[in-house]
Amino acid sequence: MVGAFDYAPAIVLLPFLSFCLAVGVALSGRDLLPKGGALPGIAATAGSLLLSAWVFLTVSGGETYNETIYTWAAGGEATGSLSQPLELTFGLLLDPLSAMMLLIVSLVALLVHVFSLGYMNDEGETGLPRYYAGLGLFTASMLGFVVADNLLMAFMFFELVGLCSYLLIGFWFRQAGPPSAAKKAFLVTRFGDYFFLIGVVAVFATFGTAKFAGEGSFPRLAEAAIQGEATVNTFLGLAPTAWFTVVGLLVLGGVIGKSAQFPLHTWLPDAMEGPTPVSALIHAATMVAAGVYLVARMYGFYALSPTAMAVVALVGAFTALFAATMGLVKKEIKQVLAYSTISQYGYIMLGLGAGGYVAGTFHLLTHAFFKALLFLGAGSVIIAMHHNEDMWDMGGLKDRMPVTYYTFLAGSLALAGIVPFAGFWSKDEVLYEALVHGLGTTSGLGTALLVAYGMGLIAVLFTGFYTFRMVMLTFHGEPRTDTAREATEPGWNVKLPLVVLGILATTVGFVNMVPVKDLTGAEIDFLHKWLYGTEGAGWAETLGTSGYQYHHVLFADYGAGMAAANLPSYLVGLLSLALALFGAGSAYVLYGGADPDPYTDKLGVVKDVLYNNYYQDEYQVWLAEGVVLPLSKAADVFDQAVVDGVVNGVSSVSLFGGSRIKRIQDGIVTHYAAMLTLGLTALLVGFAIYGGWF
Amino acid sequence: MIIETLIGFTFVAALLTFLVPDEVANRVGAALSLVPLVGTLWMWTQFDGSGNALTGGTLAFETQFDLFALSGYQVQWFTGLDGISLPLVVLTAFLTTLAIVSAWTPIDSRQSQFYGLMLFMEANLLGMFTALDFFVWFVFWEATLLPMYFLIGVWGGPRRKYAAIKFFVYTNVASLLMFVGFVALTFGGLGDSIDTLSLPEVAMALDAGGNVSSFMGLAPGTLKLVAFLAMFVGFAVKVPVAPLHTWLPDAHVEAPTPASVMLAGVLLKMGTYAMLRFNFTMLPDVASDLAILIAALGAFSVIYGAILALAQEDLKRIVAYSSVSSMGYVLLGLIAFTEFGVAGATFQMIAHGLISGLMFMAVGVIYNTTHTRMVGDMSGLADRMPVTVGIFVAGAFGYMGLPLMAGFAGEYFIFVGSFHSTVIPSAPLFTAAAMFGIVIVAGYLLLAMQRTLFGPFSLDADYEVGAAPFHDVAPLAVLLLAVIALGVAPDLFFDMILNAIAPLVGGGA
Repeated sequence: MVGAFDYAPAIVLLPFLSFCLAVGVALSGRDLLPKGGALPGIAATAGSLLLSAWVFLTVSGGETYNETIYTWAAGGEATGSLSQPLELTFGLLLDPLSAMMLLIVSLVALLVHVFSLGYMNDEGETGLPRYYAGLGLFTASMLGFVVADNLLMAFMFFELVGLCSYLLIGFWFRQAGPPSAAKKAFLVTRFGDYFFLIGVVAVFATFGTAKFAGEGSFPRLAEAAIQGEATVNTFLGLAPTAWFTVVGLLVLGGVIGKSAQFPLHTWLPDAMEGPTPVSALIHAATMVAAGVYLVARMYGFYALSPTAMAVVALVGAFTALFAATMGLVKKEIKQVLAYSTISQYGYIMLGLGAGGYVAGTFHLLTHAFFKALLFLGAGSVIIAMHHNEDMWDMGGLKDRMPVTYYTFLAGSLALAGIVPFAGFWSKDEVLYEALVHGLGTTSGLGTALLVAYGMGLIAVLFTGFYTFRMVMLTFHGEPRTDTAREATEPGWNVKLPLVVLGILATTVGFVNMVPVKDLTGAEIDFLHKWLYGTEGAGWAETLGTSGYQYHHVLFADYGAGMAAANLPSYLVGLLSLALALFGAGSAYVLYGGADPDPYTDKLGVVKDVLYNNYYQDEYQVWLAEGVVLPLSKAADVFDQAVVDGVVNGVSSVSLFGGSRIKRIQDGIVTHYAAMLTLGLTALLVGFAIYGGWF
Repeated sequence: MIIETLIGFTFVAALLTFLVPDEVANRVGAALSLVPLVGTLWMWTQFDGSGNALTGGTLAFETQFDLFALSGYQVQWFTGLDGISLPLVVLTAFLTTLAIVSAWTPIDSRQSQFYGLMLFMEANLLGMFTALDFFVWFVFWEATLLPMYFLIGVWGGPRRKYAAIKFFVYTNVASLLMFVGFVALTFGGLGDSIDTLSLPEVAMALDAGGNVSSFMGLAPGTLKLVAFLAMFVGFAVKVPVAPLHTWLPDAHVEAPTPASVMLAGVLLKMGTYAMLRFNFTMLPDVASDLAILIAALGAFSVIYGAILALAQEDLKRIVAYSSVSSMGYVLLGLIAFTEFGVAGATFQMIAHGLISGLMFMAVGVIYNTTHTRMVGDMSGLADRMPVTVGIFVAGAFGYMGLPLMAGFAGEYFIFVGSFHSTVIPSAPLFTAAAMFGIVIVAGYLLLAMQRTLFGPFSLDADYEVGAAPFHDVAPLAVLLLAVIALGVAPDLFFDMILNAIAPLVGGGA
């Protein structure tokens, strides 16, 4: 019987076809497609969404899929020092995690396509086929990444996602800013991907396979190797546990780059140079999400190493706090959102690193919807403001753009983590996991998690503040410019995605209300059940990608060695809710008036530091332009003067020598006779000495 | 006899092209070059070789007969293909045709001589990649220099004489060194234990071990070492391995676009191909002893070439230095002595041939239109020549090793192969060091693209800058498609390469 899984490759191929179509139209240079290619894109992503939903339903029936569908390069007999033949393949892994992610990605991609009709087509953009080609390839690459059944395939699509971000961030290539931002985005993430690629190579060299799930997958081999039940190659004289930590951290390099974690976060705020719908796609569902999704995808491998887990949690928590402080003082609406993205992905990392596989995934889910909503809402505002993004030029938009306002407010409440909006449930669970595992675990990992929890908690306060500062400045008070006074809400193609996402941002948190479950005992932690499956049966057993397996490894002595303290989740939730309310309330008090003052300017030096992003960009630009470029110029001078100088020197010496020696041949017979005699004598003397005649 | 027919035909085609009037030479040259192209593609479909040509594998399209005797050795006409040489032969014919078409716009004088020389070079390259007798091989090897010397020296830029002479003398001295090394090894070391200088016979005699006698007071071990070094340095100039690379940027900058395409696309591969056939197949034990040095040279070439590319202001120099960088990966793969390493290196030869050819052509098309290659002289070209720029961007990402393009496949195979090499000490560290090239390559290409292709359009010129003609863009598009095809399905070549590599590495030792 033909089922959803047989059509699953089409989920990836449909947007790819829309890409090909749009490229063809772009090459023809004529306006062949209605709406500049938007409609094929909408049709393709809608098709992907339907197929994803079908896959989702099939997976919820307990079926999963983990098959190779294409052999990229056959190693054949090639084993070398590896324990098994190396097969480099593409395949699909459809389990609850990827099924959920497929749904998120295809839904957000569809809504972004629809929104683009309002943001790009209605604004009279040129180069629309190129735009929709980029969106199509972006969606296809991300979907390919999500369904990847092995690390190599994941890396390949991960890189394609990076290419698409380059193309779309730099969409307005005739200006100076976007090409520069695009370059930075690709280059910074490429730096992270360098480590990721070493990690991929290391995984192949270590295990001979890079499959994520099933019998003989690398997380399982790693688990068996640590317990001494399997042998794998380790390198540089390291024991398995230490080597796996190294490999895990190498892969994490790619995650830190793509998910914009400290210190590779600097590309993301610049990426705001791209069209706003692209920002929504990058931040909510594709590029930035790809990083953390990878950690969740190979969670069984990370769970083996307490060091790797601690690094994930600490990097995430620090980024969450660090980015939130920078969001406090920004002027432009998209900049605030950019820093909130960095901060929220920090939370996801914190959740995953703290042993909260479900919590991290849950926050990935809720964040995808509310951040897509906020970006599209900001896009709606930007259309109304005629592409002025400065919040100090806005104000009072809530009466003029009610749909945008109420949906944006829903997204903001979710972002700030106010009950009962989606972000509350997920962020709360992330912090809860960090706290209970931090208190319960006695090793250094426990301390690390407690520190991480502390940073995450403080960030909640800042998040509430910057979110509502943004809402107040944009929508409340009196309009501060003529543009704001005359703003009108865009058409249905903008409002429809906002409403859909507004509903989701309000409600999607209900899929996993752990505090309510703990209070009432009702079995309503659906996401938890979804990701755990049935212990020791079905896909949870065969694939080994279930929460049970991860929990088992996390708590095992040979794994991360975690333990959980016993704390009621609602108490922990109340604390973070109180902080969020306090932050949001302060912003309301300070900026809720008719004509708010720029209070953050009073912070003086602190504001300057924050506004300039702790001078992170400066030092990275300095590294590139102040160190690497001069170094290369010096190397060039060295190469010309010394390396090539030697070559030219040798030729000069021989030319010079030749010009001198040729003077001997002057055509005067007596000179030749003299030289013959001299030569013969020299020869004879030479032979005489050599032969011992004297 | 198909190989001989193709080589012979190409020589005749070169002669014919010399004789036709200049006005039609471009089309005649292109049409005639289709014959070897179709022939090599046909050989690809009919390829039935297996194993390695030098270790007793089954050759495809084999021809072998005696020519004459020379100081006790029988000189033979001996040609044939295995999984290593077939892809290179296909690459040669493919790039020659495209390079000839890419010459239509820039070459506007002495066309019949130009296209004749291109075909003459192709014939010699086909001979060089198929010949399996040392004498015949060496004649072809040397004869490829001649057309390239004239292509640079006659149709080149302002400093063409300097560049042409430097190219010729540098690589010729290197050939001499290599010749001396090989002759010392065979005449001196192997002496009477071989009857011919056919490469398989030499390789198998050396493999049998114990055949090498001392020569000129050098003990067998020392003789092998000296011969290895002489051949290695000789080939390294051709590759080129840093620090023996300085002829390359000069040659590229002065050479006309089609000559650059052939130089980067095929002529550099002669060096690594010969290294693989001679150094690494005939004297693997010496190579293993020197592994740390060779791996370090490979990694050094990658990083040093990339850093130099970063400093350049001339688009062609950027691409030229990046060749040094990319060929460093090949060296690293060869010395790994793992199947993926050596096969990946061979694959990378093809991948780099296509991608560097694409980039040189794209720079050429921009130059045809703007009459400048200096990064600082132009910006925003994407506005005026969108299709060319689109292909340029795609090719640049291919150079950066974007997955599903040929360059990624080659580099990835090399990295996997060298990471678990047991020959290179601390192989993971060498591999990781060389891999940093993928970051620098992104740096210099993205920077150059940002400055020249994007931003507001500006060019100090009093002529119209518009889209390039179809016959300029078509070869770019064809190359791009080939790069993508090999990236999506590397097994088109990788399978047969692996098959030919397997006997050499003996399970990774």
